[in-house]
Amino acid sequence: MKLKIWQLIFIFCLLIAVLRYGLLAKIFMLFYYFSGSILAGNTMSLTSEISDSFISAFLIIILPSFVFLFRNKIRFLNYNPGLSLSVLLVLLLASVFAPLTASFNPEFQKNVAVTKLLHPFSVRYFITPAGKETSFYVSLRDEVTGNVTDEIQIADSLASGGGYYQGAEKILFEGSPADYNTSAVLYIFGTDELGRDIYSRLIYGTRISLTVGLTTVVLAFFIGLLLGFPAGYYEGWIGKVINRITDMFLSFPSIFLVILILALFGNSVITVIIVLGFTGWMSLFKIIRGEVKALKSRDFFMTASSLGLSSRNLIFREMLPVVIAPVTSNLVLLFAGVIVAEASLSYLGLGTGVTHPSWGSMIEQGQNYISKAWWMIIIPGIFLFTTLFAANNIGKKVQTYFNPGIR
Amino acid sequence: MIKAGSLIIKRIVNSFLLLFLLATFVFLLLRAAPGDPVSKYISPTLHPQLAENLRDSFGLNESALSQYIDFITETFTGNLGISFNYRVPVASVIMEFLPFTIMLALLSFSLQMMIAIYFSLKAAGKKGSKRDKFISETSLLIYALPSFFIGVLLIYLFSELAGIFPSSGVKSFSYDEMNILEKLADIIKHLILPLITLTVTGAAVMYRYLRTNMDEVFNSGYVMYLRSNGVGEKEIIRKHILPNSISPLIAVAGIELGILLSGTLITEVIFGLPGMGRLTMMAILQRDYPLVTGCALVSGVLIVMSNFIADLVKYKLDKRLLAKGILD
Amino acid sequence: MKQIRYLLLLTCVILIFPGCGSEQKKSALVIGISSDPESINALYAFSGNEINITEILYPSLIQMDWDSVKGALAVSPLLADKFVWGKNSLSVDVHLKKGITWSDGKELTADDVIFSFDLFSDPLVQSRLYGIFKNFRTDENLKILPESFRKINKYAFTVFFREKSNPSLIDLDLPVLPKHIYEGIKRDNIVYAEKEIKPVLCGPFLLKAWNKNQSVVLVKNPKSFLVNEKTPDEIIFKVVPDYNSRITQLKNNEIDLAEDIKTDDVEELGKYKNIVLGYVKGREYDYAAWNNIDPVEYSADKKIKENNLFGNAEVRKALTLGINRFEIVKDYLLNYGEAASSPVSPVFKDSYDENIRPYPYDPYAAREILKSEGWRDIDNDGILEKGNIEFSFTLNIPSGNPRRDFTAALIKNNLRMIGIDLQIEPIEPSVFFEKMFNRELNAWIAGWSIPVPQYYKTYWYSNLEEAPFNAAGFMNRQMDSLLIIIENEKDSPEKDEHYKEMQAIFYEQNPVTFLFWIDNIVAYNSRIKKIHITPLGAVHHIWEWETDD
Repeated sequence: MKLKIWQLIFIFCLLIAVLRYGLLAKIFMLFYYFSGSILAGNTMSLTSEISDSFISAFLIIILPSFVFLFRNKIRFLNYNPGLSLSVLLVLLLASVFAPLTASFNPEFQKNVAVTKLLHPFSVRYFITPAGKETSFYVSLRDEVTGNVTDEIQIADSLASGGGYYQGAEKILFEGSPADYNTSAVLYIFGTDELGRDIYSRLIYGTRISLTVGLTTVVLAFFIGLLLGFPAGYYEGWIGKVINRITDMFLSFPSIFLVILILALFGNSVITVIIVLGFTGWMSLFKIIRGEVKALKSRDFFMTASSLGLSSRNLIFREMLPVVIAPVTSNLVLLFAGVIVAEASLSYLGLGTGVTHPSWGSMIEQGQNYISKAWWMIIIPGIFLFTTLFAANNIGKKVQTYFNPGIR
Repeated sequence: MIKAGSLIIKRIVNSFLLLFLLATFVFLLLRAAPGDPVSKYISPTLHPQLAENLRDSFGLNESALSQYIDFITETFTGNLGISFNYRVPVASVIMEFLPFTIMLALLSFSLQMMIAIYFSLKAAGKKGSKRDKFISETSLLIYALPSFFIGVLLIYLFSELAGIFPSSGVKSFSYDEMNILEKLADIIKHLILPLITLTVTGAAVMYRYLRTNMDEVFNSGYVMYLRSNGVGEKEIIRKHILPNSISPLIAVAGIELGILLSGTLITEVIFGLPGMGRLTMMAILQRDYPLVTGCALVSGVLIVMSNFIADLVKYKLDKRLLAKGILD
Repeated sequence: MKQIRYLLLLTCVILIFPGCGSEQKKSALVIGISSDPESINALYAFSGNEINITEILYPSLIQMDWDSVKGALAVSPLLADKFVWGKNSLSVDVHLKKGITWSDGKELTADDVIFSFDLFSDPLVQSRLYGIFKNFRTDENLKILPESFRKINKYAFTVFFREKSNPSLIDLDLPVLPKHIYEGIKRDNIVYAEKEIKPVLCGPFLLKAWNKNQSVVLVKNPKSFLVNEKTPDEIIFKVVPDYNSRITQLKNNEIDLAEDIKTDDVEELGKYKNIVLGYVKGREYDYAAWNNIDPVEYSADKKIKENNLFGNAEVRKALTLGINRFEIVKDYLLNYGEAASSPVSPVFKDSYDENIRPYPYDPYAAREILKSEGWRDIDNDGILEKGNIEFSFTLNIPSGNPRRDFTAALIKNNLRMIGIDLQIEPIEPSVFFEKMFNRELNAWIAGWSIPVPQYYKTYWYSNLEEAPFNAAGFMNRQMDSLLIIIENEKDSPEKDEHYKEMQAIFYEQNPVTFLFWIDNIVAYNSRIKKIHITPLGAVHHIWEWETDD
């Protein structure tokens, strides 16, 4: 497989666009109505779910065109990603386009008695009355966001004389079949105890995990840079004080503090990111400080500073590019570490799992149904494992790339 | 020796400072956080004045500053206070849970070291062989498995499907009526899954460290020298490469031990074991302030101590190696 | 390598050799509980399991039974022999049964009982019953005054209640502690020393052992008048934190009783011949609360201002009509529960008005009501507006409760249909309840477990200082006067009528949306005989239970 990155992105977007053309058309229609009515002076509310769909619908057109046009300008797009990076990229894309890739709203639940704890690859039938009296905008909105209203009924089997059964006895379809729309729906990875689609929850869970992973790494890097730079640059008391602070952070029981803070102050996505960021920067700091120290005595740097470049220029033009390289592998490994930490915290009920679907909390819920529904733990576990394995592999590759001596 | 002595004193002073900061930090966090320590006593079946009286006797109605001063003086005279929830001294609550965690941590730690050393010897014995690659790949795979998933998976495989090992608890209910052999078997049965959960990831990390270090030593000058003098490969690995590679491992091992000691939380939660991790978690959720600070200090002390021990061992080891003239 | 092989072999042998089937003692009953009790002293038994255990260890003067015909509480003497009420019903002579002895051989006397009242009401002791002796004469610290009691003889004493009070035998429901043990301990030290105090008891069972995080073992007290030869020799409360393990052990006869069975497991457990299922009905309900007052204004300076969304009773009625509670009962509770119409439980047959049925699920009617209250969808986006206020709010739930997760998502979908937009926000329980009691939340889902005998004032009275559990800030004059009438009334048909009037107000006003009553499903081994599962609970009056073997 000699796929280049831009080809991968392009094919992925194309595939989604082709597979979900119906939904895409609806999103654009909704956007048309929405902007029309806003222009007419109405104050329509834009929920996060709707704006999410709008963004992914536009992005699915913009992104492939962008990578296609700039494929020769941006070197990164021409790399051959290899398996690990491909896996991560696909996960990333799937989570960015979650409204298009997921088959359900992750919180969608209805007729639990019929939909709960379904095996992977189960099929159920959705039955909706044909002539709804709600406004066109509202019904379109519900179809786009997947928040289907209460009129829907889910049946689990086809009755012999036509119509559908719900549970063992109840026949749906009173009146003529023409009054109803029916459609068969596939639950690829089965459902959980509240009848929610596990596949869709995994997609949204990926989104949370990757977001937390990426932003935490950026935050940790930023803190490491902010402290590591002066610590390496100024050898005097500033450097010493910063060093001492870092040593203190290193010998603090950080697991304890993470749990304490999250349990005390609640666990929104942002607190999780901040707490993990503030406990993960120390290894980056050490490397950055070392690099800065080494750099100071190098020729080109001395030349640059004797040329009278300002410190700001020195930092951003000269030092940053040199410092980033050796840190990269640590960043990737930190990314994997943060994902594990987030999943473990969610497993304990302290991560993002309280407010969002999350891998860790899905496994935790699955443990309650371990004798009935293996897919509730195994499938999120496989997602988690694949992501981490891919990230670790990339980390290792980057490491060998920068330090060929170590294998 | 004077140098070592002053070093130790410096370390102790530093450690006390650290613990003081930790205690202060935890104190501040607890008072700043929402949640009411007496919420357990607010219920329609209880009189509201009871909660007020309790708040008084917990000292929660005093100013934060006087609470803090009380807390610090009490703590550094060795009195950790009385748990809000259990209504007995914090120290005795902790003593109920700590031994189990320490046992679990030490067992797991020695297993980790043993596995790491055993397999790195196996792998290094035939560098680049299929076996070497297999071990390395497996360690990478295990490394990518979060320990809570390993735990749940083990429960699924061995408790749910095979039914060999119990999924929770430390000992069977009929434990007291067993003979000594049965007792031993019972405990092993209960601890085998938690130990695996706790051990494999750490063992994989240690293995990777050790392996990298060994590779470095492998390529060093004196090993080449030994080899050219006709010393057997096995002997080189056992007597020379291993001791030299272990010294950097000890720093990592110290951190790992500290982490294990301060909380085998995830494992305790998965398998419902009565250890420090779960105690801490419960104390936090119930806003049992004295117990939370007590747990914080205990885990702080354990981490500081294990780092300290690791440093001492490293120091000793380095000196011995220096004396032998190997490390030059 | 060789050593390792031997080691492996040895481990295998050890693991396989003893086998797992260890026979239990024949006449021991094992009750599975989810967490270790924190105290098994009657003074400090706060949680359900603790109360269940201390009820056996420390019998009270009276015992409560459930009269399932009348649907009401039936009170009869237990340690007492008889009660003789004074002329004005403000005093009662209590005659104790003679010949009851403590486990250390001393006899139970009137002194022990009088001492126990003093002990339980002492603020220094901080007992579970502190402050609730409201029909007694108490000092400013709510401690019962010594002149409330007059000893008649060794086995009898008189209790004098407060003027203008409404006492009943329930006021005498108090576990009795041995005076000769507790009088030697400083009052303010009892709470800390409680676990070291020697358990001197007089109940049907005595404490044999309390193995921390393992079990509480009670052994039959042959001297007690409450037991006979068929009473099991031992009652063991076994701590099994993991729910799935409890179910497995129940199937394997390792435990004999477990409560709070999930509805998902009922069908499977029903297939086991050794397991009988029972249901504690009508003790717990879930509700969706709509704060009647503005939470921001109230938490700022205790100012009471009508809530701009939920202040109107008609709007709250529309919300009730718009929530499909029947789907929750059918699909999630699998019919182990029923839709609720008020906090008055249907188990109180005499005081429950059967003609008041829960509102049906009718989103169209709900929409009509909202329309007539001025909530219209002006901009056609599916969400109602009134003036420039959108009908949009946050619904808080305590985290970690799947039933509430489910209910919240269902309410969100239901209300979306009638044009109301809500966001679900779970909060960690200890913070959730603090905010709820401070009336900082706007809308939330929680539940109450109802007291027996029934009592409503603390939940629905309009003086918020006096009714700390009226978290939704419900204020209604009619309700207030009814609550006060009921408080000073003896049990009578008139009182039942007043309860029914109360229900009518709840039905009209919908202070909150009463969602559904939840059955506590209990599974027990078929060898337990004479177990009566009533609204008072399953683990109640264990000394009456018998076993086949």
